[in-house]
Amino acid sequence: MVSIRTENLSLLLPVVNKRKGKVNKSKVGGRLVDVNGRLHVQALDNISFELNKGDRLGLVGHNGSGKSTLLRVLAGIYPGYDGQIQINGKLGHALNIRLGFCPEATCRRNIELKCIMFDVPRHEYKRIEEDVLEFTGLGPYIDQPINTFSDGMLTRLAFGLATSIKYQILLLDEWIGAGDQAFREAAQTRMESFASAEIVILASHNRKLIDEWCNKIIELEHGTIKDFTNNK
Amino acid sequence: MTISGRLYLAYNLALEDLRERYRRSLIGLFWIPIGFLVFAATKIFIFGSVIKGTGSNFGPWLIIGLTVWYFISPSITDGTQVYVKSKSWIMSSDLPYSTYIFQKVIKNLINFFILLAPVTIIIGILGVKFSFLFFSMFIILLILLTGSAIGVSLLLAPICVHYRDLIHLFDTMMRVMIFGTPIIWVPIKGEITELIANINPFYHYIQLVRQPLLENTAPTSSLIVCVALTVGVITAGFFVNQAYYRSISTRV
Repeated sequence: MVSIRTENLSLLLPVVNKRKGKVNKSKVGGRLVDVNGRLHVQALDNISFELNKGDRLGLVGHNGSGKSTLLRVLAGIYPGYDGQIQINGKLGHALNIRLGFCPEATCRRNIELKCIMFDVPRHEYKRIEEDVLEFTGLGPYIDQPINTFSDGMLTRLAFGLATSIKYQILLLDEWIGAGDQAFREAAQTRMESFASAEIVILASHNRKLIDEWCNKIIELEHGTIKDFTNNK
Repeated sequence: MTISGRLYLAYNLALEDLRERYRRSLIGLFWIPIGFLVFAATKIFIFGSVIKGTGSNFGPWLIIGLTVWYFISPSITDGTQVYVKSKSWIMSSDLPYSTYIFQKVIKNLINFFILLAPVTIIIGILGVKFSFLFFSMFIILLILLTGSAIGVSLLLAPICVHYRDLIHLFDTMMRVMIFGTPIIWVPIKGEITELIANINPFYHYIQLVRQPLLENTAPTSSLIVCVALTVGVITAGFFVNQAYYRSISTRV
């Protein structure tokens, strides 16, 4: 059964090159704490929630409230957390369009590398490439190095890849709000079909989108859950 | 992901490293042996007449030493930087970080193998005979170099994430060590150079193949030193990497 459960999830991130003694009174960023004489940001603080098949969780909050950090912890990028995480199901993510690609390599080669990275069976490579190209419209640029791509084209590529490889759980950071109008509509349609039987966690500043699309909403502030809403 | 899947990914990332370096170059990977041979020829020309101790063998002595050095040196400098340079991948996937170590080791092995064909031809022309002992020691050298490169990366990469100055320190040290290692000079028995050579670990790795090739004798003492170093550095690397593992992605 596909599910995610976190219990008292916390994460401290070290602060490099910052003077001690500064108190963060702003809504932006986490609480600054002193651990063994070193300054840290309490990026996540006692986050607990449970999601099951069909759930679509929206993460909202100010810049630096912990949305992206929470997604990264769930994605296994920050292994140094405290608390518990239980994930049942194949998890994929698209968290930053600038990371996890070979910029000098072609679009085709990057699709192949992602397939290798996510352990996709070799016979699936072609299907995924065709699916990504059909969705993104990047066919004419398939043999171009991706460092020649605009942000919009990279967004299409990253989103297309994340939704072409069959995951049961998908983490997305600020995706549907990116790109042009045509992409946003195509992405939303694709997400509707994708999310019908799986778990999706989406971080966004677009509250309207989150309200329309998610059945659970967590509002984060200073790395803590300020509000948890069952939306539908 | 299985270990074979990770190695396959590491191999593909290593290929991308090499392609990136030589992209849009007309002769591409051929620059590896060309650069090596020009460097070796220059050293032989400059130092050949003033070096004592090898007689007419200085050419093969230098070429064999330099070939092994061309694996050792980038293995250490890449080893210090591997996590810092792999930030884009570390911050976008949950793959074990050793994948990126394998990537750099495979890249350096590919470089090393590209050098082998021209080096073999040249030292063959210079009169060096290839014995069964040499082939046995060459396979042992490959295993020990690969193991040591992985161990050094496991040891240095996480430390250098925290203390970035060490990257530059090791880079500088390796530039100096090419002169401190018996590659362009020859240790003389009973002189201080023999002691300097013997306390230099790199010398023993080189001797694993140089001694069978030039003296046709088994490098027993060097083999013992290299096995001990490889086991030691892998063990230390394993524990250091484990100790730092959880903090790497927050520091990288």
